[in-house]
Amino acid sequence: MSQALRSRTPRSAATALFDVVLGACAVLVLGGGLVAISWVLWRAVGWLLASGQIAPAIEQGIARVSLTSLLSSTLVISVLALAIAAPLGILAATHLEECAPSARRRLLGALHVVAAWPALVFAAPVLWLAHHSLGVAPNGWVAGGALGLLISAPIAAVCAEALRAVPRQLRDQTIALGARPRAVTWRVLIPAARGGVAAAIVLGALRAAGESAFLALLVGGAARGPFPLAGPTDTLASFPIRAQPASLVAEGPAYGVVFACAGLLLLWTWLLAGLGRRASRRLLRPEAS
Amino acid sequence: MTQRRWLASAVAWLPVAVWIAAVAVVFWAWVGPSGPQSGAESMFLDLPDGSLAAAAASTAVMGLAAFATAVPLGVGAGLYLASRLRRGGWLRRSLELVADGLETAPPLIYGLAALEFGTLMATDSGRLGFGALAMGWILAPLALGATRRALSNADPCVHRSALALGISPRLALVSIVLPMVAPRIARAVLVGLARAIGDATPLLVLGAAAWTTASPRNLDAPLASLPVTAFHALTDRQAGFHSSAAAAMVALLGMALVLQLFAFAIARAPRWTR
Repeated sequence: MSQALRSRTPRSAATALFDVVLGACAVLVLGGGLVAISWVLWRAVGWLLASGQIAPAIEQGIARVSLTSLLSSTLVISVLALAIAAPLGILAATHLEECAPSARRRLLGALHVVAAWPALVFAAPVLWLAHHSLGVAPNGWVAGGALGLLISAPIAAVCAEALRAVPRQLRDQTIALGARPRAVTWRVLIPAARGGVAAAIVLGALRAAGESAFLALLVGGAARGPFPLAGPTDTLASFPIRAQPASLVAEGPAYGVVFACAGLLLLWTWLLAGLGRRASRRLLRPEAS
Repeated sequence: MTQRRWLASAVAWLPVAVWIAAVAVVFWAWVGPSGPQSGAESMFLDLPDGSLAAAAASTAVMGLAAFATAVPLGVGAGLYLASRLRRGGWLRRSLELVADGLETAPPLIYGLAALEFGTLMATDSGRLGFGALAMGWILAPLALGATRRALSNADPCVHRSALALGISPRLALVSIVLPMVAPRIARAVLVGLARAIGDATPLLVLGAAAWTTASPRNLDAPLASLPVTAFHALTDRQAGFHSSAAAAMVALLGMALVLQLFAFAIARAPRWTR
């Protein structure tokens, strides 16, 4: 479209003004966002260099917190959540392909609706049932499991859209060759839509990484042992919430760790997004399908 | 065979079913035996420590301020990227990379950036204006991404036909292509807004108050919001915290549902689809 837009006719004053306004919007949005993110990264790197160690440990309240334990908890809880959410989301999406159009419409609509609901509404019953009623101490298993169920809806919704995007002829021809609906789904649709399925899983991982308040409620705080699922733990996303940076001294060690956590979390999400983009691009290549 | 089908159906509905169960538990905590006993008014408005209506008003003011500033800027930036820069050029590719990076950044980052901005200005960051700033930082890349995706999926023939009829490129973009893709942009932005107002993260790092008693008059009012109220009520073990948290979450869920319904209605409105 951009080629078509570059008209050879001389630009009028209104068009020039329009270009300037759009350019100013781009500068404000991208420049403002870049400044915000760079500032947080700068604070994180500055503090890490000033503290003189890669994995500093600080006393936060009664707990001792280190960046390595926070990073390992984040990875383990994310993997647990994805191990639950990815199969559940893919199974839900494949079932949508096999059910009647009216049921498909209802279920897909419901998935899209619940995917945008606030995560706190999901965290509250888990907190009440697991911790208050059953007396289970906060731990990584509960947090990872709940997070997995939370992100299964967006994964299922995006997966279902990816399966719907597969050309109709492909499934019609497979059915004409005598394949059963289940075989069509698993042997034709999913391999054809694997780029979209990979993108859905990455989207779920990104959502899992960003749910700070949800995790802060469920993890219990303070990463202690080497195995983060067994007892109360903390993640890169939940620690900044629990540390309450607005009430900390701006140059203190806890304030620095909050920014270091945020910086690492940002790099983690960018790594995930980059991997997802690369995977979908590779899987969408004509020779790969 | 029937059993397998039933099982597959149960698995398919599980992501939705767990949400329905969660919402049912929250409703039960709100209206059930442990909930407030003094009538419907106290359920919504006057909780032990503050007013839920005031928290809802603060959320609405903050969301509205972020929406009014960030969405036009984001849509404008998306139009610039998609229509004014050469496809495949280094500048467009670099800016798209930046836009993707901003869109995938966790809300925590924008909350901390707003906190630092408050520290730089030597003012208290626990103000509605800073909450709106953080929310705007979240919403603007989202609007940019939605616009970019909608324009790249638009049928190029319509635009070419408009140019062939002698319409200027600016007019073709603004009065023909943009109305065509507007429902998709509006839907994505409204769903994004519903998620942004339900996210407590940026507001918690800004030091939002757990409760508020007065409705906000401007953006200098103390920062309070429904998700923050719900978060603090959930972490508080005082008597009645179940019902206070549940009341805040029911109100939050109501706001999210209204925005989603609005998004659905906009996407289905006949004047867009004509």
